[in-house]
Amino acid sequence: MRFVDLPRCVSVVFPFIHAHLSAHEPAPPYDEETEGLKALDTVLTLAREDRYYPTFAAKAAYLFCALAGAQHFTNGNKRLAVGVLLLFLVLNRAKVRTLSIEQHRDLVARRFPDHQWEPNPSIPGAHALFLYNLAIIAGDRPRWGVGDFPALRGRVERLFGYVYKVNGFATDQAA
Amino acid sequence: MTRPRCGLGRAPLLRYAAGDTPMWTSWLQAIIRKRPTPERRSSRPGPRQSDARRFEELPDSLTKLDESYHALLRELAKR
Repeated sequence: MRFVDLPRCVSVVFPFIHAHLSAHEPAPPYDEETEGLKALDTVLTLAREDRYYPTFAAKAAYLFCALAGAQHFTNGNKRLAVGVLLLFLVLNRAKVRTLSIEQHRDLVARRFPDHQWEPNPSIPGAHALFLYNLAIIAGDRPRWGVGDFPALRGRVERLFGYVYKVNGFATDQAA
Repeated sequence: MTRPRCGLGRAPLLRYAAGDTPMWTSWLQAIIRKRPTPERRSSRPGPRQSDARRFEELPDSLTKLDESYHALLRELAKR
């Protein structure tokens, strides 16, 4: 398994996010926030720990939820979570289950029944829209609908285990 | 499939119970003979083919991701 580290974030993920800003949106100052960078490094390091996160889906869910939900930086945390997750998927040649927008919506509704699915028409792809809604959930604690972070991460892990496949095996058959 | 003959005038179950199982062996051989030939097997959609329909590959770099992911980042920036 290949992992995202801090140098890769600096050289790949931050530029990826900065290259796709909305109009008049200031670039999130990731490089300037020392404490945020330390926290990011800690998250990236912990994700490697097989004792805590033994599967690809568990690691992916931890990365995503820890970055979107913890607000390590003053701005751009949800985008950072998405960028790191996408790089983790790309590095490991993960495949994405072919699902319609409705199927993604139903998967999310099953795990997060309190979340009102946002069908943002500006996002054309089903998988991208799935990540958009998950980032909104993870980035806003009242939307979690579960008591604590491990419960949130566990639900996202089940979703990722169904949607992503690595090394020829989907890690879960039912989300 | 022709039903194998148990022969000897004994009921199949009695022969089976007695440990004399030529009938069951014949049935097993018949099942093995009906397995698909390599040609028949290759014409069927195997696991790999159906798998390709169920999963899509991502590109090998973030910069090659399609427009939907660019839109995703732009829309998240608005929130």
